Amino acid sequence: MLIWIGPKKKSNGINEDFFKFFFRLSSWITIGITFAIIASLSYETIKFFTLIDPREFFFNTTWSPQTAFRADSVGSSGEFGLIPLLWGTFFITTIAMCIAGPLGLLCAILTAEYLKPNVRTVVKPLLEVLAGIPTVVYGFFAAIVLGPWLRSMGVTLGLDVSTESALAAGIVMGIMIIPLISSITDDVLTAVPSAMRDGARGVGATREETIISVVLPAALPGVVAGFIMAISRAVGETMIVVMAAGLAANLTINPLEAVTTVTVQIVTLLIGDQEFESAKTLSAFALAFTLFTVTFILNWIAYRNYKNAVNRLRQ
Amino acid sequence: MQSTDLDNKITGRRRVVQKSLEYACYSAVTLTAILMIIFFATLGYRGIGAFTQTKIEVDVVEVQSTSKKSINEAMYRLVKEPDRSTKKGLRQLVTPNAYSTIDITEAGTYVLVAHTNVDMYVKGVYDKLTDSQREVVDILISAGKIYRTWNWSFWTNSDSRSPEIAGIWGAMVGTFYTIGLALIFAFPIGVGCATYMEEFPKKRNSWTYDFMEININNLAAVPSIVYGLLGLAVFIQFFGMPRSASLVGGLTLGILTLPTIVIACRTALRTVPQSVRDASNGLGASRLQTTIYQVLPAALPGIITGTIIGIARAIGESAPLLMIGMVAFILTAPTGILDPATSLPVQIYLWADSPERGFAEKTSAAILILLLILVTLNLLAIWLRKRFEIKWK
Repeated sequence: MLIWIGPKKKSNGINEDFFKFFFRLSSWITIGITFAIIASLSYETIKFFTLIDPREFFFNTTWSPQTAFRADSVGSSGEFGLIPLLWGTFFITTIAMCIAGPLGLLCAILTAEYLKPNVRTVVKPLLEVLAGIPTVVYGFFAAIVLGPWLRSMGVTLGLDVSTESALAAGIVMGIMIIPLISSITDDVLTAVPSAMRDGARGVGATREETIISVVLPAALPGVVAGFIMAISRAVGETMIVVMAAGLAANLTINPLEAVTTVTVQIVTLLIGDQEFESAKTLSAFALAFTLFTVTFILNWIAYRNYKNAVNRLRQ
Repeated sequence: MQSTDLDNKITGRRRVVQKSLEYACYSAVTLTAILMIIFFATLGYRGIGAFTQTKIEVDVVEVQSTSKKSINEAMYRLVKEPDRSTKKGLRQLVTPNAYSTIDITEAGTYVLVAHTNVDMYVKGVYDKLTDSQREVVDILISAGKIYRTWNWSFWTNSDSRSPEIAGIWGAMVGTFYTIGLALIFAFPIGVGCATYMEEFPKKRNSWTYDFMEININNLAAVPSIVYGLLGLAVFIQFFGMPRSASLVGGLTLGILTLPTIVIACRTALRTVPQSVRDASNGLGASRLQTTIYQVLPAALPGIITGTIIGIARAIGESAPLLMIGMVAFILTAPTGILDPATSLPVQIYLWADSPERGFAEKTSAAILILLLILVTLNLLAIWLRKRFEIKWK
C-alpha cells in the first residue's frame, strides 16, 4: 500500500494558498499606492501642461489663478507662476527650522547625554506628546492666539504686522517639528559607541568637550538626515499654513508680511465644488506633483543618510 | 560620581564652554516645556466655558398661535411698554433655535437656551449687548432666571449656525465611521504586507525587497495632503464615489495609516526570536503554520500598539479630508457610510475659520476633547505594551 508523505495542500485548517496569496497581495497593494499617487498626479499634471506652458509654470513670478473663472475676459487663463509659492514655502520652513533646529538638537543632547536613564524614560515620551498633537490644533494656536498676539505686539512697537504673518506660522511649525528632530537626533546620538566617549574622557576631555568634538561629529550624518526629514515634513505641512498663513502670493523677505505656500494653494484651489477640467483645478495637481517630488527627494536623501550613519556607528 | 567631580575642577575657558552647553540644553528643554504649558493652558482657559451653557427661564402667560409668538410675547413682558428696538433686543435674548425645538402648548415656565451674546456676557468673554438688553439681563441674573448649567447639548448636538447650540456629536459620528473604515481597510493589509516582507522574503538583499523597503518608508513620509488628492482623483473622480462621504474618507485615511501600521508591525515581528521559528519548523509545521500559530500571536501586542498609534495619527488628520470634501456644513449626524460627514478635526477647522466669535470657545473645547481622545488612545497603547509584551531571553 502506498502512503502519500509529500506536502499536503491543506493542513490544520489553514488554506496555505489563500494566506500566501493574501500576504503577497497586501504588499503589492502598498506598492500599488505609490504607483497610484504618481499616476493620478502626473495624469492631471500633463493635462494641466496642455493648457498652460510648463515654462510659465516654473519661471513666472506671479501666481493669481483667480481670474481663470472668467472664460471670456482678457487674461482668462490666469497666471500660474510657481516661484512665489515655492518662496513662501521655503521662507516659512526656514523660520520653522530656525526655531526647531537649535531647540530640537539641544533637547536631544540633553536626553541622550545628560539625563539619567530613569529621568530619560519620562522626558522622552513627554517631548513626543508634542508630536502627537494634531496639526489643526497647532493651526488654531497660530491663527487665533499667536497671530493676533504678534500683531498687537507689533502695534506697541510701531511695526506693521500682518495677522497672517509668516512669522506666526513659522514659529508654530517650528514647535511642531521639535520632537521630530529631537527623537531622530537622540536615536543617532545613542547609537554613537560608548567606546568613543570613554576614549575622549580618558585623555582628559570634559563631558561637553566630548560631546562637541567627538560625539556630534560622529553623529553628524544622522543629525543632518533628521534635519532633512524635518524640512520635508515642514514643506508638506498643510493645516498650520492653511489657517495661519495668507493667500496672497508675495515675494517678500519680511517675516511680518503674509506669504502663501504650495499646500495652502492646493487647499484653496480644491476646497468646495468646482469643475474638474479647468486650469485652476488642474494646477492644484501640478502643485501637488511638485510637492510630492520635492518631499520624495528629501526623504530619499534623509533615509539613505540615516541608514548609512546608524549602520556605520553600530559597526 | 567621580567623573562629575573632575568636571567641576575645570577652570577658565573650558569651564565656560562646559557650563554654557549644559545650560543651553536645560534651557532648551525648559523653553519647550514652557511653550507646551502656554499651549495647553490657553486651550484650557479658552475652552472650559463651552462645557457650560447659559439658560434663560421664560414665563409664558398666554399661549399664542405659534411657539415663536408665545416666546416673543413672554419676552416683551420683561419690560414695561417696550418700543420697537427694545422689542427686537428682547427677542434676541433667546436662541432662534428655540422657536422650532420647543413646543409651547400651555402657559408656564419654560427653560430656553440663551443667545450666544447673553452666554458670552454671562461668561465674561465679551459684551455685545445693547444697553436695554444688558439692563434686562442683569435683572434676570439677580432674579436667578438666567443661570449656567452643564452643557449637554455640546455633546449631543451637531453643527449649527448659532454657536450657543452647536455641538460635536455629528463630527464624532463622522470620525467614528471614518476611522472604523480606515482600520478595517488598513489593519489586515498592513499586517499582511509586514508579514510578507519579514517572513516570506525570497532574498533579503534582492532589489524587490529593497524596493519595498524604500516604498514603505517613502509612503510614511508623503505629505498627508497628497493622500487627499489621491482620494479625490481615484475614489471620487475615477470610481465615482459620493463626495463628502465617510467611505471615501475612511479609504483615504486607511491608505495614510497603512505605512505606519506596516512599519510598526515589522518592528514587532523582528522582536520575535529566530528560535521560535526554528522550534516550530523543527516540529514539522510549515512556514505558514509557524507564522500564523507562533510568530504573529507572539508579535500581536506590538502590532496592536503600533496600530493604535497609527489610528491616533489618523484621527487628528484633517488636510486629506478637506480635499475630498468632508468640510460640508452638516446639521445632523450621518446615519451611514455614504452620507455626507465631517470629522472632529475638520469641525475644529470650520469653527476656527468662522467669523462668529461665539465659536471660539467651542473650537477650544472641541480641541480639548480631541486631545483627550488621543491621550486616552496613547495611554491605552502604552498600557497594552506594558501588560502583554513578551520579554524574550
